[in-house]
Amino acid sequence: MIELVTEPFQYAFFGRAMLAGVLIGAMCGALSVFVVLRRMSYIGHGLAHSVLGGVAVGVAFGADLYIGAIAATVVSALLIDRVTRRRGLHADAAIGIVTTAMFAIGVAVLAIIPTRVNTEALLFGNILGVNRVDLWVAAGVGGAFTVVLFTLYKRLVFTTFDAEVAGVHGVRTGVIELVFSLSTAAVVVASVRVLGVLLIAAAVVIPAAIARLLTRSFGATLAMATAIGVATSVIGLFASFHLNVPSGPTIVLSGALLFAVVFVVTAVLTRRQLVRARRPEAVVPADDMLQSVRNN
Amino acid sequence: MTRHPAGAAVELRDVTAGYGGESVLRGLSVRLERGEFAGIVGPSGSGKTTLLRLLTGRADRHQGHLEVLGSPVRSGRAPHGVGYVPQLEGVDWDFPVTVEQVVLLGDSASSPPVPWFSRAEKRQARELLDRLGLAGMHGKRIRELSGGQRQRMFLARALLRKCELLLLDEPTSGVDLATRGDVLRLLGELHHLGLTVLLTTHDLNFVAAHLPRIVCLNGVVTADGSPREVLTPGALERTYGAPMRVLHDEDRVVVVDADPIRLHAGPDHLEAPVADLHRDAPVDVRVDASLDVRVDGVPDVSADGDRHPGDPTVRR
Ligand SMILES: Nc1ncnc2c1ncn2[C@@H]1O[C@H](COP(=O)(O)OP(=O)(O)O)[C@@H](O)[C@H]1O
Ligand SMILES: [Mg+2]
Repeated sequence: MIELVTEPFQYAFFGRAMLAGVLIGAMCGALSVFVVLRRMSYIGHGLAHSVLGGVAVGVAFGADLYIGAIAATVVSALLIDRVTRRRGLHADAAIGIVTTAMFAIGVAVLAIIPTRVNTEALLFGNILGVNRVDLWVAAGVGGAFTVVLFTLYKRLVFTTFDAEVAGVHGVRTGVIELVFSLSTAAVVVASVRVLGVLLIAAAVVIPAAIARLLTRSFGATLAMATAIGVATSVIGLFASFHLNVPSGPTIVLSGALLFAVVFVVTAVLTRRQLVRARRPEAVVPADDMLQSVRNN
Repeated sequence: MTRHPAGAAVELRDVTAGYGGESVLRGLSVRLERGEFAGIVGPSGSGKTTLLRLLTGRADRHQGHLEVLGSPVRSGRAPHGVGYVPQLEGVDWDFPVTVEQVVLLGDSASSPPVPWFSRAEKRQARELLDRLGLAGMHGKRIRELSGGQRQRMFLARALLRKCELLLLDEPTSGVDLATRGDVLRLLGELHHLGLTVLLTTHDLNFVAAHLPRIVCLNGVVTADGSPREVLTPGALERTYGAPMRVLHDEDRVVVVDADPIRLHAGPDHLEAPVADLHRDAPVDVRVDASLDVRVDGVPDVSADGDRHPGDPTVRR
């Protein structure tokens, strides 16, 4: 049994993948709280999809994977930032068009120009591919994101809760929103290797969705979502190794499974509480009468 | 009496403003002295919220001159000394924050760049909550508060910083009648302490009964003055685009529908089964925006906003 855990670490690549996975899980988990509360789950989806276009074009010109990915996400992040500031234009639709077009460009370029790029790894993530550069990128983005979260925490929360009033209270909401968009772009770029462009969107939503079922305050939600991000990453990486399935799907599936379990358990618990609270009145005839009237 | 520094609380001279290139407000000239208590009324979509946003640098001024508390307002920069209480309807009440956290967030911009608030800041927030009648509520989730309590929580947030001008968007909607009275009394006390108060509402009779000054808005200012001066059939028709009757009581003015729609009480009056109505002509029962419509036997059915065909206006 214990070998299930120890065996993978006999391979150097798994240690690297695990380190990257933990960093990425934490970042995606923390980010997910803001993504979910701002109702911007399409941002992760859009940014990640556009990465494929950037990477394909970049690699076709002989550039490193990260150069194309960074260029694509920065362009998309700025675009999303601009578009979401204008109401009336439906941001999700505009972003859907632009980023999916970039994804399509990526698929087309990869089909036309033969490259060394492993398309499946790019789409679904691959723990075999994690190298030193990936680790440095994950650590660098993780460090920068931590500094941003630490120093801008209050302003980020205020802007997320009520951008309008935050502005009245002297918060430079434009700057905060730009910082948020760029942080998202950075986290997406760092996550591509392990999660794959198709599955990042889920990773920046699920942890917060679970944490919100279990916590009350913002700080607790953030801490819980970060922990969940790490946990699902770890479980997913082991599953990826043993089942020989790409790491993106296994990480996202362990998150989805956890969500299902927590959802059912919390639903049952609240229901039980409700029933217990109602029991004394449950036999009041008036209630039954009302019920029978409604049934007729 | 409080002595106020020079300069008006709000001064608009021939201001045209809106969002992007589109103008929502046209040719506005309004001057609000320091220490005044005024209400902006108008149908929904008339630009009430936009006017408040404009005063806090969050709408685009296309033309004219705008000053708040003696200094010009620049777009994107909120003027100092302004407190803002937003409309309750626009708030995400499931947001995971406690009452105290909401109030403390009001200090974000001037608080040190660490993720926590100091003990002194927390003490100040709790004192404010206590003074506004929310003692012991600081640890509650915002969803657990009633309408009036939510209103007071946002008031506490606005007052956490030094504030001379208080702007409130629709403070009377989303709260019941008794709570409305409480909120108003509280605003009265703050006004007495020297604050200038400007609020918006679509509830004409509320401003008529309680506020010394009313500004009627419908893209343009259609009337401005005391309730007695402003609430005339002509001005109201200009504001709401529908005829209304103004009733004079001893010391107050009441606005009612010019032509009450008498709805029948029972099902015997239905000429066609409801199902037929759906199949044939669409029903379009229009209730005049922002009027208190009196339906026989049912007092005070407040109709704010528009009714669309398809709303449950016909019930079995
Ligand atoms: N952020 C925005 N961007 C563009 N148009 C807006 C925005 N907010 C409001 N509007 C438009 O401005 C007009 C006035 O809206 P608003 O000021 O909210 O009216 P009120 O508060 O009186 O109901 C409406 O036609 C509305 O569609
Ligand atoms: Mg409004």
